[in-house]
Amino acid sequence: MTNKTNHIDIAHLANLAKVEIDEATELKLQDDINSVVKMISKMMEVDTTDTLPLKSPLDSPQRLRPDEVSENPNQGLLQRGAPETKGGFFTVPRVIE
Amino acid sequence: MASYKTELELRSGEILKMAWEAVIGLEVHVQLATSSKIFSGASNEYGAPPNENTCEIDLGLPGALPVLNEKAVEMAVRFGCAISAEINEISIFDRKNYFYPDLPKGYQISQFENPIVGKGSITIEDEAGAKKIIGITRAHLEEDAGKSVHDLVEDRTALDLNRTGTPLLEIVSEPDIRSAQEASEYFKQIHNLAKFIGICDGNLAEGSMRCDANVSVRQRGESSLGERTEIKNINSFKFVERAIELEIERQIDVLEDGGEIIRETRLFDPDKDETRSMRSKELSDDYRYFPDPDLLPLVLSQAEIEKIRSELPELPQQRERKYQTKFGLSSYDSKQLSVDRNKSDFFEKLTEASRLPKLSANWVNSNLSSLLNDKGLGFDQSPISPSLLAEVLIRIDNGTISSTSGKTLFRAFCETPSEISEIDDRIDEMGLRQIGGTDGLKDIVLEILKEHPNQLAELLDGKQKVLGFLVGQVMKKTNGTANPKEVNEIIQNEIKKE
Repeated sequence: MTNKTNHIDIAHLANLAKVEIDEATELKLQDDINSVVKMISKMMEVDTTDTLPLKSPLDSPQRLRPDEVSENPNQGLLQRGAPETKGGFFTVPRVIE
Repeated sequence: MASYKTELELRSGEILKMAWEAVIGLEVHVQLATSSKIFSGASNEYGAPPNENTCEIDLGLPGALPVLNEKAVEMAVRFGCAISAEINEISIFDRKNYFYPDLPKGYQISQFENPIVGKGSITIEDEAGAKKIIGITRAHLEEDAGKSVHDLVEDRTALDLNRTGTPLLEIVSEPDIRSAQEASEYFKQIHNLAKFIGICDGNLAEGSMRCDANVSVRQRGESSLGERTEIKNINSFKFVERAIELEIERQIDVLEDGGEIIRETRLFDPDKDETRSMRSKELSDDYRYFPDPDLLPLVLSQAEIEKIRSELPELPQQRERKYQTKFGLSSYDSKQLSVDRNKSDFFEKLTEASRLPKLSANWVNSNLSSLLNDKGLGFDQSPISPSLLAEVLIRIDNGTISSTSGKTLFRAFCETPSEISEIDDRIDEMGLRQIGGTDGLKDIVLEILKEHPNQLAELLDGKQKVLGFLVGQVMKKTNGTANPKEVNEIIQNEIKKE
């Protein structure tokens, strides 16, 4: 992994997020974010060549379900929240590739 | 229209084509024959009214959580064992993100870096019987998407989400396939195997099995791969072959005209007999795969894997070999008998009971096959049991009944089955017992010869043609109960006496 100095442009981010911030806040946030970036860069120094990637934070395997039909057709209820339906179908603006 | 080409031009075209080699890999999607969906308890049955077989999980409603179907896992492992693949003790479900209305969650749950089934292989055979091993890179579990119907509602796309969440096993081959014929043969092998081990109903018309073909061409002798295109959603053996043939030709034409192959997804249109561009191909980066936080790692123990392996039936290619070596059947008959699991099981029970493998093979492949075909039944629904049919075959073999009477008896038993202890009574009741070796048959033969003096004279003149006619007359007179071979012998003996 290359250790390039990440400059994060707070003003640009604020603009994208449609948040208005004053100059003082911007400076403070810039300091904060720089220290976060520094911390992450520090973590990147650890040699992980022999470490397996973590697939899940929980140390527990997947629970399985028996192959049984447990749901009854309830099309009416399930389609109640849909903006548009017709003849049992959900309908959306036409999409053809 | 193609312009008229001289023979020389045609031949140089052929030579140019020979300079190219196709490299093909197939992704086969097998719908697993479970009762319920892969992550929900909604029914997995085909053909329900639109959106009947859906629930909150399939529709991706907020708060709904997937729970994996154990049967789908078992079926994936069964397939892996059948192709002698590595089964991964730990596999991971990932989200494959893309936007399309028939994918309500905005992502498909699939497996990316850690699939359940690893490297394996399948052997295919060409028409001449030459075998070739096709490597299988992996097979992973995933959910199917719904179905979009574009021409049902004006100006709208109609969505039927019944198929959403149908368990799929996607089987990815190595780029080991070199021709359209090999691709079709490979697809057939996967189809037969998946049906045989009971993980898929194999119904191509209902979309139970579909494939995508990755096709590229390169100069013969070149070791690096050319740019490839992917032909999506092909659902028949014939179409796989045709789509790939067309795509190979198209790519060669583009390259020979100095053009470049663009990586893209193409569609095969059987009506126009062409492949055409659908969209530029997404790379895996575009799908933003990441482990699905709703699903923990799938962990299988060696004991669980071994249990599934031990329950695997003897596979078609093993059975085929056994029929040739142990029973001395032809390779054609052996193949015919081993493609369908129920047919093969029926044949094995029949042979075990009759000890007549060749006769059993003939009957299963002809009389029984055509009867079941007419009635639209499978071999597991045969109206005659293997043990009863075995008794019929034994009696044909030892001369109690003729082969013709055997068929009559067979048809009768298919209508009204018989207790094995009552078979001989039924034979007598129906007057099917063969008149053989006795004076009875000889008398009938003499009678027929007397009735047909002209034919007898011709026969004495050495015209062997009329022999068939005379034997036929005897068979008619005995209602098919005589043994034609014996009739033949008796006539020959009588001629010698004259």
